[in-house]
Amino acid sequence: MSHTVILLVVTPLMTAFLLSMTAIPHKVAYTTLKRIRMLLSVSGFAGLCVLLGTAGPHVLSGEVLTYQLGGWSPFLGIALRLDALSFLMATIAVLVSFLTMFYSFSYMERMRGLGKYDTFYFLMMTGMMGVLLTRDFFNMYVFLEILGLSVYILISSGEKKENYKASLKYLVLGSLASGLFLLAVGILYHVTGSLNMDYAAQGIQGIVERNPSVAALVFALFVVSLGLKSGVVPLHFWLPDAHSMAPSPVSALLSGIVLKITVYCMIRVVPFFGPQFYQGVSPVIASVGAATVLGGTLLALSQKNIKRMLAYSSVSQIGIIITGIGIGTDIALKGALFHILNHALMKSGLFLCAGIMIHQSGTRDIPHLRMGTPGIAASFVVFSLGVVGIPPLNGFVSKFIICYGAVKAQYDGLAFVILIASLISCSYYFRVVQTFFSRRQGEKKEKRRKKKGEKKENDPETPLQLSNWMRIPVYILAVLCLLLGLFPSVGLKAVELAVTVGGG
Amino acid sequence: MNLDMLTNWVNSITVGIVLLLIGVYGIMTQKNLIKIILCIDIIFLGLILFFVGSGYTEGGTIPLLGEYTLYVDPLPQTLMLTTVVVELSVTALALALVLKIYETSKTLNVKELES
Amino acid sequence: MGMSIIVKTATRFLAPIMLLFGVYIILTGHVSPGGGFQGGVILGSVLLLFFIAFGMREGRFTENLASLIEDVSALLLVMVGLVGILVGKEFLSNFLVGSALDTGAGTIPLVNTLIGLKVGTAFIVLFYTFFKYMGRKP
Repeated sequence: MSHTVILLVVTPLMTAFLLSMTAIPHKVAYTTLKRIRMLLSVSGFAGLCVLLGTAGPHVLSGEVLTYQLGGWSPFLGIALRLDALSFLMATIAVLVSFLTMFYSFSYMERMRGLGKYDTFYFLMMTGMMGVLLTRDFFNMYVFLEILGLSVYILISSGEKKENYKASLKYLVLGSLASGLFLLAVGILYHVTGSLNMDYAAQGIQGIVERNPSVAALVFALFVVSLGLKSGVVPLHFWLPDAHSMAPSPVSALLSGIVLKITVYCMIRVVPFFGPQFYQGVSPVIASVGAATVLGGTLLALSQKNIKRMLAYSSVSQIGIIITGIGIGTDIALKGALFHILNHALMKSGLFLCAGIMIHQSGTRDIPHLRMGTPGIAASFVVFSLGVVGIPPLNGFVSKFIICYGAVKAQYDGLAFVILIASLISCSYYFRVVQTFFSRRQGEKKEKRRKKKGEKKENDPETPLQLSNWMRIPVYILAVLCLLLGLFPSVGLKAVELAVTVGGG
Repeated sequence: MNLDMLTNWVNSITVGIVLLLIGVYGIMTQKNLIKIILCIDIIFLGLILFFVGSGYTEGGTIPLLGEYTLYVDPLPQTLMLTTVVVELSVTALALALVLKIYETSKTLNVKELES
Repeated sequence: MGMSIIVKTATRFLAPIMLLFGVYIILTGHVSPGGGFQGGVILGSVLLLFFIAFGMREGRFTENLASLIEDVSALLLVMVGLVGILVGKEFLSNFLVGSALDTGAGTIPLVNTLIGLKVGTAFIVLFYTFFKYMGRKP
């Protein structure tokens, strides 16, 4: 039996503790310490890639790898499972985190957070892998908390006032959501007698027939708690602050992966309640998704801060994914999963570009952004075209599949809402692109910076040198978006397998 | 309504739910940051009470496998140990963040921090 | 700095007893209530008692030593799980059951000890950090 499944969770954990040992103050020179940390981080990620690579051929041919922790039977113990859906999400998570780690090698030079930034980066990876692989409800809660705690610490490692406020706001609301999730798990355990997802699923079917109000209560608690963590519209108010006031690589990770992990939890949990229950509640989820799409788009229109605008755009794209889940047919689910993949690539690329552009212009306001290097500007254009949904890019394919699924399932209004939202998102993305082509602002900033250039040596806001560590991840993400858009069959085949094996 | 009917309803489960609701109400309305963090703790404590109370069976004794047949379920208690650790870490992190916020903003009032 | 002489004398007398009590709770975690986390908290609170009674002072048990013990015990904890893989069964399986080192509960006292060490030293680092923060020059 292969131990790949558990090693996927243990490798980032061990790397995190090894990196934490390098943070103890001792007499090693700083550059050697930096090299040791880089070496450990890269080898940790290399180990993850090797493990995913060895598990890949088995999983992609339809096999499901299960694992019992400690040899206990599934009813009593914790089971882990790697099927096509988990594998797809794990690949996305490892890919985006890997590229963002290279970006943060040079971006987080000055603000290292007592040297523990890398430790919590890898603890966050452990949390992600744990949530994606587990088949036990309480284990999912524990790993969601590990993920959440690491993310709160990563947000606050920018060491500025706004980072602390954003982290505290996210902490309070994330803990509330975790509390509600735990209440749902508690009621589920009290009624069904087991914490394992497969056994509890059978118990839930019985409860839906005998006592539908309890089932509705558990379902509502799950959807509200996971929705709060994902940022659906009545409960999204922590998201713009947390995502915009965090350091740029952390924003990329948050918008790119962490939101999607709680959406994945929703995909796992919701089919347990049986197809009839799902028929009943799918209008609710679909309308919540539509409200999120519209709310996020309309709120993004009035933003002047580029990172807040990108955060609200994240809200609306998550709404599109939740609409796809809410519709419930196979086609819509495929579109939603493909949109998870696409949005992870595009939104993290957008945030990484925004970080570079902010540090080259010295400001976050949209009218004052400079173009920076042409390559970064071109990548920004590629990512925005993808988010809006223009044909040669991947965003178009996933949005089209969701709209097609909506129309086929008699939900014409949803397709209309998604298309309207895409139209409106054109305006605020192209507002940023427009500043690339205007020269007047650029020249004024140039003169102002030349006057102030000598004064601000120690100020952390001085524009930093654009190193290759920061450019290459952005280019790789842009190339991936283009490739997925031109040859969508690769992504679609993986998503189809994920839906048939893992979904419901 | 006599005392018997009242004590039928006041058990761990209902008290836990009531504490949870008090905590949620507290997060919504309190203005001092320390009180909001205390309300997070109240939510978790209510949950712990709910969980531990849901494992109780009438007349159950200690869970020794070979000897007793009617025993109290030990699994929720074990799960709650983990939950207490998680709550501890969250509270410690929240208090450290509040210290840093107070150092830079000199206020603990949520309304003043929003502006 | 610190509190009165009665408190200081009582602390000097009580600290070894508290440490012993913490170790007792860790080691009998598999038969009576307690275990790794609870015993670790008691171990950590001995340092808090010293800080409150005597004022903050960095003695021989420095913060760096505590950090090192914390990371080493965390790594050892993961390795105990990995030994389960090496023996041939799954991760975190009870590989000591039935062998020569068995105390009737397999790997549970070992895991409890490691968790207790980690939690205790984590609390020590926490208290050092908080007290250093409160004592810094503004």
